[in-house]
Amino acid sequence: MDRQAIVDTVKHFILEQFLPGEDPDELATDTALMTTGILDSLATLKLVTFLEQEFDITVEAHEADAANLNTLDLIADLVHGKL
Amino acid sequence: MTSPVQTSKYKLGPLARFGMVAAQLALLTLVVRTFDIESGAFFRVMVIASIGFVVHHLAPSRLRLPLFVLISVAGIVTVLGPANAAQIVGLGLLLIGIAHLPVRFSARVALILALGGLLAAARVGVVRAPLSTAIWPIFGAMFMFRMIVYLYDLKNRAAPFGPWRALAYFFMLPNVCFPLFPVVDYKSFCRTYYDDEDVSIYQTGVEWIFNGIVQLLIYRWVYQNLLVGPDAVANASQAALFLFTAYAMYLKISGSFHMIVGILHVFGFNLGPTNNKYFLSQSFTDYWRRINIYWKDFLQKVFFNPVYFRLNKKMGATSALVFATLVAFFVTWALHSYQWFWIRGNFPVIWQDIAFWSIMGLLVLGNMLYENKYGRQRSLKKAKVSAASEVTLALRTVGTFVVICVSWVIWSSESFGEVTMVLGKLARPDLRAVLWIVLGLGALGAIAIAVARHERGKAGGALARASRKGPAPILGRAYQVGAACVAILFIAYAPLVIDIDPAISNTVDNLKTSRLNARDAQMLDRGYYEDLTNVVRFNTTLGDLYNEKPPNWERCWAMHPIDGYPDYEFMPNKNVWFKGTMMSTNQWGLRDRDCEKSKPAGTYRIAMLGASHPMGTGVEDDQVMDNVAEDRLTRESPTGEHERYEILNFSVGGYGPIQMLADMDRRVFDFEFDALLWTGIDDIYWTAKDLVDAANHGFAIPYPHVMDVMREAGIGRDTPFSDGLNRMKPHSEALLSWIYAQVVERCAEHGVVPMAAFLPHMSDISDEHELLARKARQMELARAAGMVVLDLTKAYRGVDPRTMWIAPWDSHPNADGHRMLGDELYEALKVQLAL
Repeated sequence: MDRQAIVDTVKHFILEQFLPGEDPDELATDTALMTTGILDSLATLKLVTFLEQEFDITVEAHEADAANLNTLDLIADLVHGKL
Repeated sequence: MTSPVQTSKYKLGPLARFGMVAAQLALLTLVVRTFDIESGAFFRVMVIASIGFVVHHLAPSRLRLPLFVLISVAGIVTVLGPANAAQIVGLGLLLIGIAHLPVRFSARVALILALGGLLAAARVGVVRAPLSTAIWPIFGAMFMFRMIVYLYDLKNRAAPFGPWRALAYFFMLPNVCFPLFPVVDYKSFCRTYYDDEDVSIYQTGVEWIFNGIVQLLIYRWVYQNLLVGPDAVANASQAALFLFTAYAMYLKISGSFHMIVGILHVFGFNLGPTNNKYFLSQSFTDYWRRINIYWKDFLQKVFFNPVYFRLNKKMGATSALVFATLVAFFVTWALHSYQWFWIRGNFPVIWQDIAFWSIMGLLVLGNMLYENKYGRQRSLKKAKVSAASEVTLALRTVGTFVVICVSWVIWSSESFGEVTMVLGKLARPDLRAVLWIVLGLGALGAIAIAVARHERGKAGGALARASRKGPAPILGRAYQVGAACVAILFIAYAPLVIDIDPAISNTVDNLKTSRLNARDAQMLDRGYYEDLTNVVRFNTTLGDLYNEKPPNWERCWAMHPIDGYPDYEFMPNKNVWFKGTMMSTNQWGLRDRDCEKSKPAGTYRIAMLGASHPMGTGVEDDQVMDNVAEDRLTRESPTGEHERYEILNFSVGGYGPIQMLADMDRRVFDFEFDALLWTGIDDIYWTAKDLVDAANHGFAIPYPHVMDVMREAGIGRDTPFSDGLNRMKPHSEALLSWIYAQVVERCAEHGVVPMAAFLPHMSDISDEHELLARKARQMELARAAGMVVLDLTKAYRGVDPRTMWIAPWDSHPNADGHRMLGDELYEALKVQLAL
């Protein structure tokens, strides 16, 4: 799976789960998600569960932080690195 | 380096931008100095930070981190002295070194735990180590949590590691002034280092320092003007104020955390906020996310996530969520006690902590489960709002605020009875109270709506920040901080040069010093807080003082319990170390020179009764006020009638008027003397306190009248102390009059002159009108009873009492104070004896 496909899949999930009704264009690949509260701790856990199931990867507890999950770019990097 | 930036109409070069930040930092340092923010040590750290900031910024980027380490170590040396700094740095290097030993990770952790155990044993004195007791709070603050985070990231190789990074992380500059320090995350510490344009980071830093100072000034004003003790809660309005101020005391922590992280910003660490408008939390999970954010992140990273990730696949998301949340709150409780262990040397296991964290855990858990099921509104752009949604927002904010206030009262109370007493008063509001409460909560709701509107106006700010190219404009922000600093300094200095209403001038004066409020000053004078860990933990103005106090400071090895009232006394012929000096007792168990029961020929003898001040707490034997006066009377023989004068000191620390009366009745008249000198500072208060103490301990007071008063006031073993004080207030004056009358009656029976000397209080208090009125009243009562009153309340003659405390945490008068008291007593006796 290429990186753009990962971004698209994750973006779709975030919009559907946490930002229903939002304009997809507003969610850029460098939009801060965790540091702005869009992804709080609960939403982060849901996202991790989704990533593990969707991409068949394992995300470690220490990886579930802003350094890896704060933007779509970072999430794509994390997933891509594990595929 | 940065490029010139176009603001609205001015173009600023890199040097000018940097200069603007340096100027703001200098102004903030001046504000810290003027308002005595935190402590003198913090001012020194601010000076180091201001100078260090310039050097650090101008240095090549590869040298900045080593320079920050040097500046940080300079801060430790400056504040704690070279010897203590060497111990802290030495122990720190040892711990960091162990963390990087070329052995298995588990072995390194075991070694660190073993060393930690050894240091803990040294902390409580079980193991004798050549370490200063002064290092523990700061050493603890540097390593107790950050070592856990560091090891966690080291194990997971989650961040870059290197010697300068480690040293910068553990010894970071502002820590040396703050035993309560935010748990800075190592990974964030590394990740955010110069992750944005340098001057933008610095500007955020000075704004946070300013924000922190403002919070600390608000805290100081609330502490000095609004904070009341539970004993002062007489109606629903005061109960509501009590609830609010209990929660508002957190401003001290949040203010200092803002300043700490602000200082880190000016050295390039672009860390996130530590607290975020927690008074405006809209739910319990929102509160948990807003207050002490670093703590929440630390818990989530090291405890919550690992537990959740481990259990999620085994028991499902919801069960894992419940279990991980409960673990997180249990750990929070345990680590708070662990934190107090390093700061204070004991590990408190008290019901208030357990109740508070249990309540918080359950509230947050319930809220999380709700959000997990129903979700939470989030938006990338301006959300649609309606009047209904704004009212809902206000109601949620008010509801959360009220519940959190009650939780904080439970946490900070001394007894459950105190909580029920306050809530009982709140449950019976009069119309005035209802109006005040509705007005206050309405204002909070309105502020919540206004802030939400303002933040919606800024929606997209995060996106704007992310997409910003080049340096952020700082000119307007710098002007705002600079102008606010100038305005604050003007307020501070205006009363010195222009005529201002004395009330305003007094308020400004109080804001400029970290003095105790009236109640705490009074309580500190009386040693009220000695056994009350919660007050010291929550009342950080007092806590700051107490944290410096050596262990066993209060323990007097010369005292022992006795059967019956007054419960304890001095043992005879003891020579012990007490409160920083040697004190001895004579063959009769008096803190005095040796004497016989019968009066020597040609001697005028006075028997002096009193408590800790006339006892000479913290001064050497010959320096105690009675010996100063006795020596002068004998040497200068003012009346020429007597060869010698003796003042027998029957004072015992902690005695109140009823104990003094009982002590007089059981032993004082065994001695031969001419005059009895009763001493007091605030006898009206002490009479009430004495009785509540006696009731709480079940002492049998050998005076039926006093027992009747106790019954009438309705105080007993289970009466909370503050409630007992309230109940005793209506009876105190009458009871004190009775005590004075008893003294006069006994003196008449034995043919001695009854005298009463009233001493000045030692506290630098913000509002002393009430205390002065009480002191005047007690003198009236003594005169009315027939005592000869010696007014020594002006003995210190304008000298700031704080300069005469035996220690910063102990307000008993030192040798200078006793000399002044002795001289004043001499002058008063000279006049009296000549009559």
